[in-house]
Amino acid sequence: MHKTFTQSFFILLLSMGLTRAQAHPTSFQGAWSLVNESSHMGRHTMFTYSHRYWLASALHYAYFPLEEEGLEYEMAAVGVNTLLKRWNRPTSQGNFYLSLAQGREFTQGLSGRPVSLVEVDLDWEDRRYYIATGYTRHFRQSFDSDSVGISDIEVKKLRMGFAPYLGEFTELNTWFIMQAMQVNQGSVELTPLLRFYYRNALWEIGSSLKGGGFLFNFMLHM
Amino acid sequence: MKKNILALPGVLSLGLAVLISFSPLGLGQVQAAEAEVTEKTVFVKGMVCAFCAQGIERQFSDQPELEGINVDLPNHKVVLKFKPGQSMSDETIASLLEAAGYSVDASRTN
Repeated sequence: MHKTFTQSFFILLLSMGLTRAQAHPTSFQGAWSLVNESSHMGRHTMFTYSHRYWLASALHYAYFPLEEEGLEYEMAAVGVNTLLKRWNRPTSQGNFYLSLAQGREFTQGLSGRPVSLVEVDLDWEDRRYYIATGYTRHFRQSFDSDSVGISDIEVKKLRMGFAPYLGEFTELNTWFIMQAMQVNQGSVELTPLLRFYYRNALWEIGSSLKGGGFLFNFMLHM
Repeated sequence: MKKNILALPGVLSLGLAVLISFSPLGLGQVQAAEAEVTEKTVFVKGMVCAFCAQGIERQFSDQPELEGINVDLPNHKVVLKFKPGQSMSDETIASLLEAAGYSVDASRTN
């Protein structure tokens, strides 16, 4: 079991298919943050407190409809988010985050099963361009022998965006972003979205090119 | 009622005249005190978004030497305004920026 987890973890790090590509698992010291991503593919809500700019405590809630298992997966977990590396450049910044959490499922019929969450995020942005990638895995099957038919959940995401104008931080900032996202072995969904941020609030709206549904994300730093 | 009184011609200017006349500092002293406010401009590496700017503002907000801070995101710079007679060493500024997750861009100046 432990070996499987360790192997998977390093595969994650090496693969760099790397998600929550909104990517602010940590914020400035003393900041409380609420991050929510939701679409027809699933939902992930995270509440964090940043002890340092590179370390945050986090509460997670996630929901994914699993068609292959015929159920709706739900979990809640507590963990830590870390900024492992930041590259500060005169006009740009890159970040490499690792988030780990341990919790329980609330899936119907599987309620109470332990689940581990591992997430790796990598982003780079300047004031005009933005690229981010992330990989999240919910480890559901490695804890006991009674896990036949229960699969881990993988979320892969890649985003690229640009800002049509450069605003002050006291003004409304706008980004055009294209997101590619895949949950488990499902099809890759392309979603063009608009990102807005104003001071301590960020929100995103988009619609899948397949017409599968709307996306709404928000992030609030307090 | 109060609004109506203030709207009368001459009332606001009379009020200002009274304020200046009874001020413990003469008008000249007030101007001198304002002139003592100094500024430092720091170029910051990695400051690219509103959240970065907010974090830097927050980091400096409780520094007693500061009168105010102006974050200029498009130009990646921060202008620190000090209280009269107050200042902050370059090392302290660099240290506060590092604690916020950023660094001083020493290659750029005004």
